[in-house]
Amino acid sequence: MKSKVLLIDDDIELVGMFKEYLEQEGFEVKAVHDGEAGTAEAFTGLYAIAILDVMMPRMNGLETLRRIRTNSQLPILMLTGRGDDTDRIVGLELGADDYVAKPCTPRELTARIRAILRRAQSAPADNSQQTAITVGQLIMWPEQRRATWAGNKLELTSTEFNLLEVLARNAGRPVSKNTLSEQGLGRPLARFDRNIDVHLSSLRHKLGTIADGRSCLQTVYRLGYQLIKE
Amino acid sequence: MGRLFWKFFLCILLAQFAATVGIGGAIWLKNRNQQSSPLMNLDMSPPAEMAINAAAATLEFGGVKALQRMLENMDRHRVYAVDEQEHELLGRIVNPKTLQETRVRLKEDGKRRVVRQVMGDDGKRYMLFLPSGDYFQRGLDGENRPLLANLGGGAAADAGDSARTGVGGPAGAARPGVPPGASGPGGTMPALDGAQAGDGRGGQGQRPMGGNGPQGYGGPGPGPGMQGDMGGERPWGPRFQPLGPWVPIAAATLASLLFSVLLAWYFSRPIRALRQAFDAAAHGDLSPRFAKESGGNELADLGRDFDRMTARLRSLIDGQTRLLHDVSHELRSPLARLQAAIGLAHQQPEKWSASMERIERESVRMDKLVGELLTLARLEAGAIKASQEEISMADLLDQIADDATYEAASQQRIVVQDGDADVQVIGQSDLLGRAIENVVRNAIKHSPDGGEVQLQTRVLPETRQLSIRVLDRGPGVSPADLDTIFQPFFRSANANAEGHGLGLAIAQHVIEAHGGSIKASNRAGGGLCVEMILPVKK
Repeated sequence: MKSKVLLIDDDIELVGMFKEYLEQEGFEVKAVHDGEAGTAEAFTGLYAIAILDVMMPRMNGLETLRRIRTNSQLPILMLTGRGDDTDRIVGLELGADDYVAKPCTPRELTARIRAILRRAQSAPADNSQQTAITVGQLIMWPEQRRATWAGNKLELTSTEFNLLEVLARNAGRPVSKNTLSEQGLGRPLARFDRNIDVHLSSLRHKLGTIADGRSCLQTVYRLGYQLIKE
Repeated sequence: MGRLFWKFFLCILLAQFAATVGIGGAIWLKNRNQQSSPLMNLDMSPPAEMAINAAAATLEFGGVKALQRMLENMDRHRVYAVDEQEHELLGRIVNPKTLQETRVRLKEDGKRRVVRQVMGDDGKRYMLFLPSGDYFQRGLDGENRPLLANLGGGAAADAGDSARTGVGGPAGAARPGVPPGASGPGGTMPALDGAQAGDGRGGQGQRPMGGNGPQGYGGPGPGPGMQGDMGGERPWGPRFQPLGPWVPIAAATLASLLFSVLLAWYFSRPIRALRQAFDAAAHGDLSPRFAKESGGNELADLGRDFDRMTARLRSLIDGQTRLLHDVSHELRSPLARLQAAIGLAHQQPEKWSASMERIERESVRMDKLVGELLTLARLEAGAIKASQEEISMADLLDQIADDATYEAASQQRIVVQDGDADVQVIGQSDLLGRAIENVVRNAIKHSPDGGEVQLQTRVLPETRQLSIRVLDRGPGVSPADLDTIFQPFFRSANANAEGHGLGLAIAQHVIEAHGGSIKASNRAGGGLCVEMILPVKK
């Protein structure tokens, strides 16, 4: 089955070329040119992934992202300007799964889309353990892509879920950022990449604290991150 | 503390030193003059004269006793009456210098009769006079002391009489020695004492007074009993303890140093603040620093000027940064399309010619963008002044209208030109043409299909201006954006992908560089009107 990709970008010509390229790569592509149409399309639930340009007139990409996230956990890949760190970090905090800096080759874009889709779709399949993972108050059911903290359902984006799963499987041990990037994001860690940190920071907000009041997610200096096992 | 501080400090110190030397010298000279003048020992003021006249009258008509009684009861201006044997009527001590001067004065017989000689009823001649500030003079005058001590013997002999008569010899003697403040009670008390004690206690009674005398001068007062006591020379009043010259000098020096430090610090402080501000600016911190400093002096003005400079720099830098940001963003879109086209060419080699066409188109677009940016940058740098020529506006506008008509025809729009413009404008024809063309093109772009763009020109003879109006029937601009459309990279929400939003910005810069103005307004019935006003050659 072809994966359906939603392209939201105001540059009609560029979107046309991306569409052509991605269709050749075996995706089914729907292109829209503004945030409102994009939000409406995202809510139909027909798509496996959305590619969203941050710089758009009227409703900009971040606003669109925020609206989509109110109602949908659709994986979202952001197209940001190179060097616009604030946009990037705000986007990740708002729940985007990954970003690509704007003048990008179609090949790079395709690779990123594939990585996100692989994570989102194949996660249940290659899970040999069908049982739930329990770490303290956290219970995860990877095959159902569901997680709870102290009985309350956690609303996680797919990237957050993947990262948390990696940490939960290695609970009580620090996991390097490189491992997290490869297993959670599906790509090696780039230099100066703040992606993991931003995702983990928002995870920290969503998860509760352990008995002594600390966050259950700890940064281990020079080693990476660790989920505290009580 | 920089070198400037020390310079200030030294200058102030030097100035103080010079002032001190000057003032000190002046005082010293004046003092010397006074001391050298022999006629300064007598009080020559009118009240003294009056008192002396009164005393003379009393002596002449009332006799010695009457004068004695009168002098005893006087509080101030107690006239001295000295007979030929240099005995004072009340037994008071008289400075020989004063006596000498008195005699000189008597011979002079000036207009002011400050010394009088009257024959008493006891057959003695009395000289009546009033010494001036004698205690002070004598106190400083070391050579007077032994003389006074000698005189003391004579006075002491007299003191016995005085004491017996109930008039405290000591009171009289002590009187010149008492500082003015202490004269009231101090003068009367020993007198009473002396009256009660009689002869023997005469000396004793006045002892406190003697001790109280500023420089121990009162010591050699009357009464032999006194001598032993005075041998000790006890310094009583701590107020008059001689400190020696070094303590006040040290204190003055210290105060002067302190004052110099404070003053130097005060002067060098704003300069230090300015230096810090320059330092910060050199490190890229252009925030205002002297806003709260109020004051009218030149240094405060300098601070405010500095603030003005940094504010201007800041706004320029902000503008440049914004432009750079916009430029990089604008370049990104064609670059992204280029990369996408290249990616497609790789993916589908059989479609390379279509991809190449796209790549070519994108590169042309980028070239145009870079060209426009360079024009804008040159305009902002003020390069327009370089070459100036007379431009025939009628020809220029005809040419623009022709080109525009041709261009509009391909988009099913028409351009209508009306009005005359038979005037000359001084400037650069290529830039001015480009500016007007940009406005016209913008109007064509935003016109609906089949729409009409009007190019109206009108000469305003009274103000020597040319008005060029470009009108379209497009969607217009929201009122809030009427000024913003002239900023670089502004694009209205309904603009298509063509253009970079630089055309109107360039137009504005060119028109303003030619001394004109440009403004946009929405037309009644829809559409935009852009009016350019240019000054015409006289």
